[in-house]
Amino acid sequence: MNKSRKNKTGGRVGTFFSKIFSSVKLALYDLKVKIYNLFPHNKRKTYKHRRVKEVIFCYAVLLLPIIQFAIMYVGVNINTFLLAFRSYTINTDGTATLTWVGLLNFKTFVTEILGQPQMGRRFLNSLLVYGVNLFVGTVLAILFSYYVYKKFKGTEFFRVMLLLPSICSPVVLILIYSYIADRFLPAVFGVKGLLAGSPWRTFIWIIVYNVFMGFGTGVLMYSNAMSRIPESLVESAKLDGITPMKEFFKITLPLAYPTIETFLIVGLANLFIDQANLFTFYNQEAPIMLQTVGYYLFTQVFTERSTMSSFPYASAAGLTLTIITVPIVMIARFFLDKLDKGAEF
Amino acid sequence: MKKIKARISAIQLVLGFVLIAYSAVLLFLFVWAVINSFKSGLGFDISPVGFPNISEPDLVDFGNYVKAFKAVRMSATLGGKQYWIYFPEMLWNSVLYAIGCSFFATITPCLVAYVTSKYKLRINKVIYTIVIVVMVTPVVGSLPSQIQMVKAIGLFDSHVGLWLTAMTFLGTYYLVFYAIFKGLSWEYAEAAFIDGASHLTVMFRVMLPLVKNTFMVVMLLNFIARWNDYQTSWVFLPNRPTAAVGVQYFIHAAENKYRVIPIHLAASMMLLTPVLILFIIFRNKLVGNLTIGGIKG
Repeated sequence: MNKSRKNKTGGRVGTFFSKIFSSVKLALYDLKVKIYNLFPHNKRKTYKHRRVKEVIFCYAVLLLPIIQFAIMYVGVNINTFLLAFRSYTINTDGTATLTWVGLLNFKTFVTEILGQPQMGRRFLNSLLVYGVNLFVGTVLAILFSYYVYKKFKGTEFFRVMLLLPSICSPVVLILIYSYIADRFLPAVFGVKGLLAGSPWRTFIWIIVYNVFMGFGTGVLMYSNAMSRIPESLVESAKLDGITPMKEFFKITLPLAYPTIETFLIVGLANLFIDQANLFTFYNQEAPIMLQTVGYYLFTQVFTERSTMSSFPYASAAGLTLTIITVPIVMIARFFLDKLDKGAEF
Repeated sequence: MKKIKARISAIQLVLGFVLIAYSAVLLFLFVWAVINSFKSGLGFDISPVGFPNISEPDLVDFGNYVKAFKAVRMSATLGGKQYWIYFPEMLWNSVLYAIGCSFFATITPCLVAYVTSKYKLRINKVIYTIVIVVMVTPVVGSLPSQIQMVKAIGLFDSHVGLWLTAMTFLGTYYLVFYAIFKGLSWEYAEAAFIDGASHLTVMFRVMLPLVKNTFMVVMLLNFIARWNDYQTSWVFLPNRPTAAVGVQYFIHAAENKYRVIPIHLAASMMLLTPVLILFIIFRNKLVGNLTIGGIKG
């Protein structure tokens, strides 16, 4: 009985205090809400918090690629620049140190360009490789892309065949091509080995290889760009009686032009980098008359005979060629942009 | 109407004929190589035309592939000791090099394109411009500096080093991914955010699955390019030669010049087979819709 009374009294006291506690809690919450509403910038703080999280996420994703770019592109190119003005000197203890030589490496390269006929030949070969790829390779690639885009007979098969050289190793293709040219064709037609004749003849067969095996990726990209042309556009032109020629020149080509331009510009940017597969054909022993500038520069750095001492010269040569190529690319881009009709789809 | 149809068929006929000739020449190259890889050195010398003469055992050699498997080798220095590296190890090196580099060379432009196309950042324009400028600005002769840099940061002659150098967002694949992500609706992501998903979850579980086909194609193209590339791995992994390096070295080695053409052909077929299998399996995906547009920045 006493216990229940005590409990009842304790229960009343507990309820009383709990009521006070909850009313204070509610009052504090109301106060918090009132204070929260007093400062509207708090809403922005939530948005800001979300935005900060978003930015942190983005830069976390971008961090490694940016560091990689800073080291492997910016750093490498700054190092190329510094290397071009230096030269390795061998110390008495056999170690090598880099010393400042000013423009000496550049002078050596420019003197070679102006004075050595073989260097002129390398430039000529590079231009020939690009020119033939441009006028024959690109034209063929566009025509074949049109065939694929129009889904003429055998398109699926030809798409696969056109892509095949791009996925096969040049080591394999060049080996087979060389033996066909040097052993099979002479045996069948009684002619001399195609790659063993005069330098010009050999060079022509190397260019033939490069064109023959080179336009697969172009066909893939151009035909995919053409396939994005709206069907309705072509259909309405057909209803207006457009001829296939006009359709090709007035609709297909202008709408696929941005992709073609990209390939032309990138090809031009590689003018003095392109080795025309000569290293695969000849390893380190390509005859001078067949060499391109790209092959020459690569073998300055990577052959059994080349050492670190050739690095500064190769860097200076590279910088000089970059200085020559950049304006050519910019001018070409300016004129190619002018040809763009600006059609969008 | 008849005239138009006649013109179409004339263009179709000429192009079709050229393509048939092109395909025939291409197929002939491979068939000729396979046939001649079963001849003996003498058999090939006597006639590089036609099938192996099975009735004359001296002219046929079905063991060329085994010979090539043993003959393709290169010396390497690892841990101060000289070793011979044989074809199986070269194949393993190729797998490591091609899978690692293709993965990093695909995931990097993909993620960078995702972030720069879907989030509003000040750096977006900078990155896009850098990609375009680098594409059209030729930097010639940076190989010596690259070698020096890779050596300086301790990544030379290491697979991991080469994977890290492949982790670049520069190049056409960034533009490919950028165009695809730009075209994708952000509503999927917003719905996921409302359900409480984080940015990382949205990226990996909502947005990246939407581009998985393109990702696969780009990675496959990257894999094939790395498998076939012998120059980069030869320069940066001199003591870990890949199969492509081994075959190129074997073909041009001085001691192999005579009567080994069928073995050369067998070695080249061994190098080609993995890529050809991949191509046969994934040919429909590879010839699919991989597109790049203009480069106006």
